Amino acid sequence: MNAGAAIAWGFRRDLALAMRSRAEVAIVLAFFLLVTSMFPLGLEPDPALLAKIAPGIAWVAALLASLLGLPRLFAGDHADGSLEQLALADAPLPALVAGKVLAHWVATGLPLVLLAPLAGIQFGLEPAAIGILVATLLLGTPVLAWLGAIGAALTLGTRGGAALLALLVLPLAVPVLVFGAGAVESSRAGLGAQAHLSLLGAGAILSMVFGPFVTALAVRISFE
Amino acid sequence: MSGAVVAGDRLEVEDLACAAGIRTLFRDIGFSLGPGQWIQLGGPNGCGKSTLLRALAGLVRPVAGSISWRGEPVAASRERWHASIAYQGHLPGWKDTLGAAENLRWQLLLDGEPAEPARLRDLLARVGLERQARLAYQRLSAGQRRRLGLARLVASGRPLWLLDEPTTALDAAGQALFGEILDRHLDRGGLAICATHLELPVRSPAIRLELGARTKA
Repeated sequence: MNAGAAIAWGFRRDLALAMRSRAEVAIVLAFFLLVTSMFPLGLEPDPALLAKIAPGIAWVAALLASLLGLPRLFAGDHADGSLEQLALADAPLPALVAGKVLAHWVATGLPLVLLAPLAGIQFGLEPAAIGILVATLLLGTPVLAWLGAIGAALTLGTRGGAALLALLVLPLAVPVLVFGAGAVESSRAGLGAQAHLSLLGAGAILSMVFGPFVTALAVRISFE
Repeated sequence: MSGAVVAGDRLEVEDLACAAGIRTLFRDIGFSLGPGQWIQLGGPNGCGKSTLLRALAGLVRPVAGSISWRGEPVAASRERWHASIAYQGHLPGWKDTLGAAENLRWQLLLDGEPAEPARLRDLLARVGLERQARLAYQRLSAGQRRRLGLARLVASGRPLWLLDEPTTALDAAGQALFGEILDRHLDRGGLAICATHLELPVRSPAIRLELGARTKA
């Protein structure tokens, strides 16, 4: 199987699996909406304050929500042996892994991007700022997915993997968070979000180029 | 197709040793396996049968020794080697939520085999699962789960099969079916290594390889 066919196999198979466990996917989205809804309730109802903290909260919520879905990326395949079959396939493992991560992003990352305007409205963000927020999430969630994939593969077979995964991935996600939330902030201050978006885009490209190889290596190590 | 059975297929293993942590499981394992031959791998629990199969497949790295296929070290080209083997470990690799036919379909596509609905139906019928085609894997009985693994082997054009306890949980008819499937594979010039405690109803005589009791590190 060549790389293209391997990506397609991983993508279509994992999307089919995600369709079978829609509840798990829905939990991620419900979590995102719940967390973002808690802040307006818990803080004083000052529109200026809410609009100011909205990007940061939306981003932290997206980060935590994406963490919630990560264990299902490889742990299930590892437990039932299908990860071994992937590793033994006559196909490049980085490509199979890339297809899986792409499906994971489509199932749990892309819906966050689409739900972000809803969170923005709750905080009274103006339409232009909501647009920037969506753009940053669109560029940033693939980076989160790849950081998470590497972490998920590295913590395969360890006890307390999910907690370890959070400790491993959250610090690495800090730059994404800073540039993601900062983009909305600087556009509202009239500085433009160009630089932030470019950096996020660079991060997305970098993670897509190196992510598959690092993740595949981590998967192979997990069998030893 | 690089995976097809060809004359001159030969697996040569020399001085192979594997460890679990710091404990040596086995050492100085060597054999040569040619077309139509199969090894029945025996030994007490914990002697490293599964580890030997995993080392041959390339899932774990042996601490010493060499594995060659068609005269070439298998480490030289992982993809060529993986195109030659069908490995079934003690974890079967099926998804709980997918149906029997759907599981088989994804596995065959991964193996590079055709997987159109008519073929899937034939394969499932061959192993006695025609009525379970749409049943989720988690609802199959232990024996039926094994039979799904047999369906994959029936379809497999890979020359070397590495099977870990292939007949566990199979009823008498299932074991006989496994014997038929393995015999047909060997008749076509295939090779196989089966780790098992059970007597396998296979016509072709086995080369027996007993891994010793716990070797000292």
